[in-house]
Amino acid sequence: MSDSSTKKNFIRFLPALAAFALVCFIRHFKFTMSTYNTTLLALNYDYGFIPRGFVGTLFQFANETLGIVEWNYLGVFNFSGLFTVMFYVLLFVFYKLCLDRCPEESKRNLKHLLVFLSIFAFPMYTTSVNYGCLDLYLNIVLVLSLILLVLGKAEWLILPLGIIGMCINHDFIFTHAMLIGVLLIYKWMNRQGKTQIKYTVIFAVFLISCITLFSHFESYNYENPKEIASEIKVSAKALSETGKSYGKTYLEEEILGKDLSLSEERLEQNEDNVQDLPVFFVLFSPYLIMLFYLFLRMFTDTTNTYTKRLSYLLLLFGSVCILPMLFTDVYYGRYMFQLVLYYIASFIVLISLGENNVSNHLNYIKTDIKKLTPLTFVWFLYPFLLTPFRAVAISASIHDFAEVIFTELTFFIQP
Amino acid sequence: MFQNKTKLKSILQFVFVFLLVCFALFVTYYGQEVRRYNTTILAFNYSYGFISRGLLGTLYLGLDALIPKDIINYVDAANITFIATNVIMGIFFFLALYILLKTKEKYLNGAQNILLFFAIFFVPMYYSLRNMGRPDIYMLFLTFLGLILLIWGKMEWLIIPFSIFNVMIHQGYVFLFYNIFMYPLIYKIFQTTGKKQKKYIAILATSFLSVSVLFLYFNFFSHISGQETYDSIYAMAAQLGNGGEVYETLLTHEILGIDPWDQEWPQHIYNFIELPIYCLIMSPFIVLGVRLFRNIITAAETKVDKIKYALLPLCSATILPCYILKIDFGRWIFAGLSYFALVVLVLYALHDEIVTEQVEKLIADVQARYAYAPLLLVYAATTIPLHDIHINEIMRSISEWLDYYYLHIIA
Repeated sequence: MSDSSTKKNFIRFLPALAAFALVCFIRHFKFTMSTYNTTLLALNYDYGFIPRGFVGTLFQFANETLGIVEWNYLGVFNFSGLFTVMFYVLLFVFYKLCLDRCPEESKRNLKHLLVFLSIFAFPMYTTSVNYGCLDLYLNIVLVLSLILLVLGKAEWLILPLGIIGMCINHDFIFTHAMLIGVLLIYKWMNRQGKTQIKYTVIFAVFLISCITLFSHFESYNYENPKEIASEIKVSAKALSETGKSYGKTYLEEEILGKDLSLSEERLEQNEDNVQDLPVFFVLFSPYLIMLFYLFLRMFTDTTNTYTKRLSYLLLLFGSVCILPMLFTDVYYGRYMFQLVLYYIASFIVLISLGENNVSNHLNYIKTDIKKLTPLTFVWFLYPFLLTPFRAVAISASIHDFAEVIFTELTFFIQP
Repeated sequence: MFQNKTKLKSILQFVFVFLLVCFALFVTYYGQEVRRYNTTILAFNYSYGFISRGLLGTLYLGLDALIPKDIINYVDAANITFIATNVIMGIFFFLALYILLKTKEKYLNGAQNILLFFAIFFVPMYYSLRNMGRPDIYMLFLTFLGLILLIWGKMEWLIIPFSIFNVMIHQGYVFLFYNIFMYPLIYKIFQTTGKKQKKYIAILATSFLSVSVLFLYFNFFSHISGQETYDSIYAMAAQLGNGGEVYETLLTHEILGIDPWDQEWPQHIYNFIELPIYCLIMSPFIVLGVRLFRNIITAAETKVDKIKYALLPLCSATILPCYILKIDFGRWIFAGLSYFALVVLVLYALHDEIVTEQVEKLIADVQARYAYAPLLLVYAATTIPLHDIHINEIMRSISEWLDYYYLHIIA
């Protein structure tokens, strides 16, 4: 292919993804925001250095100081819209940066990985259940950190970003920080001298600040929980779509400290989780096999140094950090999204950092897949049918299928 | 047929992937409900005379008489529809397999791509809420059977009764799906000589005349039934509908002959807004399609061949009257898609070198040149399932949004 056509093709790639993003947005966006997500914006640091108070404080700042949003549903809706757009813009900045930095011979693989990531990421925060949720803000922090890691400049900024992530939602330590941490360790293991020391310091401070903040938020006790809860309730109602509703469960559990683990709602959600998860793993098993096969190839490749092989192993098992969330909370749709994002984004970053080894092994995998399945493009289509991921239910189709398998036992229409 | 092991292996691998995707499509879009438009039609039957759209209801009544169970209720109507849909999907898979077995090994990739592309639209279309149980799928059932015969090259005369039955299911067949028989017959007329050619001319002429006459009869002379018939069909439709719901517009139009144009005018406006936007969204595929047919016609050497291939896109124009007179643009678009996909697949199975080579070249070119090529199938999947009045969910969002803020037709 000539240079000009390669360049043309390269120029066409991001607009093609942007068109796909736009279509995904129009398809899934329902002009509505859930009460749970509006309630979280009613939390702010007026009540102390409380957990999940950062975004609410930011909203308060935009409302009181900047005066760009109103203190009502339209205000939270627009505020969330602004950050949703920011997330997608940052994602494209990340894509562009990766494409710029990636070696020419790995570019095709990188583009396929970017397409694959987009299939999961584009519809994620446009659905009514996830529009404006805290994970959106956490992923903004994550994408910013990835941009810094790919750039290899001002990487110390990961530290304040990590702190902001913890202030947004302290679950960050289990769901998002692992990717940043693993990539920092990867860089530390594969560098020498001063640079290695730099990554050691960044990783250590990042880890310590995350753990410290996690301990603070997890053990946080509200001084006047009842009073604060009733104040937040009023604010949350004002921010809700109807002006009357609020996230009752959140206030009761997180502020009033009630144990709702045996409530009817929570038990139902747990049951949904237990049903959805095995179905998810079965439906996505071809990808799990591909993933393990890829890691196996990379790990057993004797041309790699011992340190490199160890860093691949770390990358494979870094995702176990998410396990505590699976045992303690119910938002499996979001966790599975993070799990998918963890692996795809880490490969994207490694290839962008010039890791030809990953790209070479990816080529072998692709050749093997081509031998086994005639239409390789199907492997992009298939996960799209099982998205967008939701919150408690992993996705509507996975949840419906799990219902049929575990509860209804039939596809026939019941009286 | 099974001597070539590599071909068989390739087909089996594709079948596995194809079934997996179709299953995912089913799981994602199955609505577990048959809506009133599609249950009401089961109340139309020939006990009221030779009325339009009466064949399905007559068969349903026949089934009711045959089996000991009373099936004039919603749950049974819905489950029988579900079973029928599964059977028709089975016939579609058989047709797909048959086409692949008949296709030359070196062209399998193209045929598989087209089959997958068609399945992305076909499977969710008739399992989703709006179109489950539509008469269209029963028309496609007979169309699939007819195509199997056309590829087989035996008992092709059966296309005549199949076409007649299809018009009796729904007179719109003439515009929607008849061209799927028409072009392969025209193609065979061009390809053959002597007695064989005469046979195809006779099949085409007879089927065309019969569907035309029946269409004219159903459209202009069968709406003569009175209030009594209306009440009787209404009562049965209420028994068959979910929660007793009846699609009254269908009854007043087909039984009392009242023109729904005025009532449907706002929906026509929606359609006119949606079509250009939909064309814009689907423009990558439209561009590829135009490029393909231009290449096919250019590749044809003789004048006769050029005419033969020029007729391929031209025969799709039978759908045009539906766009002008009727409101279900989602269905019309699906009919257009079905025509191109199925006819090209038939040409693959009939070993047409020019069409197959051009399709293969186009696919290879797209895959080699564009890194975002995998996105094309995914992109197509964002536009499914096709609905009826609104083309799809994306178009519904856009037209309702425009209506709410600017047009104020319904909102």
